[in-house]
Amino acid sequence: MCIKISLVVFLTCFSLQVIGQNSVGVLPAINLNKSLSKGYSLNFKNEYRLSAKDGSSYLELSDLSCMLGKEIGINHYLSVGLLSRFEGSLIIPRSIFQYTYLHKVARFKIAYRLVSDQTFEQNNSTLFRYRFRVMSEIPLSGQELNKKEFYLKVGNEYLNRWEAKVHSFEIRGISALGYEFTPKNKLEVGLDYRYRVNPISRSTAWLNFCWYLKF
Amino acid sequence: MRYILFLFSFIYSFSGISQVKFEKERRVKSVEVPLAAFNFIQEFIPGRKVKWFYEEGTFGNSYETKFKQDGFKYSIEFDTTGKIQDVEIIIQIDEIEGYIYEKIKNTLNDLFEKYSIQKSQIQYVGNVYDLLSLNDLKKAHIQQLGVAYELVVKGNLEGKVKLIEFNFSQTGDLIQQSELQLQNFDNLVY
Repeated sequence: MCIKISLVVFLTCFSLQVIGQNSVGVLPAINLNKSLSKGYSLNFKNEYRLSAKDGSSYLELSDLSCMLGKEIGINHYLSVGLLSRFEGSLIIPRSIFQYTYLHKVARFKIAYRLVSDQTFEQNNSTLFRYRFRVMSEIPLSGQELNKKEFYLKVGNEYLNRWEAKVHSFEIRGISALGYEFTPKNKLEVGLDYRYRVNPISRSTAWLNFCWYLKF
Repeated sequence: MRYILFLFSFIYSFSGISQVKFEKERRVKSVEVPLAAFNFIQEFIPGRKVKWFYEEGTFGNSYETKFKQDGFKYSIEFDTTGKIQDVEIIIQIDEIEGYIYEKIKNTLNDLFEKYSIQKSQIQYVGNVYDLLSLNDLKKAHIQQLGVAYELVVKGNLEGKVKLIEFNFSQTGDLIQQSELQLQNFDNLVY
């Protein structure tokens, strides 16, 4: 019952959000993780941005990233990595540094994430971004997430960016319905709503698909 | 032979050898719960609706209910026939009496390089009458009840991060430890 209600809420929210947005589309992604020894881990992510325009969809860009993570303390993680953005004939590199703290409160798993990234574009100034995200995972059956069970993922992200001394601020709302096939295999479908507050307000809504695999 | 088996199981239970503990719970409706369990809760917190769970685990299956009463988080477990097993209340680790707390801390310090306590509970066992008195902790028959402590600890053990459930006796002696399945957080980190 809870799952059906969640699905209805998602679809309704997405339909409502799509109306009147500056941009809508789909963000399919695959996220691969590998644990290494001594608390190190590797993460590879491949994400596509398919936008809709004049009734047709097109591939706007794709991102390919590789991150090296280290558990620096119990529930504290540091990661550094590189992302390559493929946009038309351009390849845009971005360096990423992130810190995550995980916290468990009753049935909620909460992650606080701070990210700093720099994008190096040809013929443009370097873009600096500082992001803060709070994300929570809530099992829909019982107190703990077990395999073959659904869960909700909800969160907010606050993003500051500076390019040639011009500042912009964006708020993101993320909600997804996930399914855990096994603890190392999860699939999420949800809504990623982004609202840029300044310098020019703009809102976008994306339908997210992400498949998480761990080896 | 029987003596050897008994001796082996006795040594094993106190040896600190980890067993991977499996637990899976699902919500169930109150009508699916054994009558004895349902009646106990009706008497414990009259008129209150609670959430019921059916738990499948390494050490058997059970029915469990979790609720809040007077600011305390309770978890009450019954066997599949509805017979009460224990009443657990979530506590802060430093609420445990001084010398017991020190003893538990020393055990954990000996075992782990670094650790973080994820959950700590006080566990009461006894007869139905005395367990019912726990609905009001100020008037509870604590002296008549058996007490134990259950801790879920995440820590570095032999160079690996592990999640372990510990059971300590009333005097802070380690009774049992079971390794729990570590949750995968990748979808929250990346």
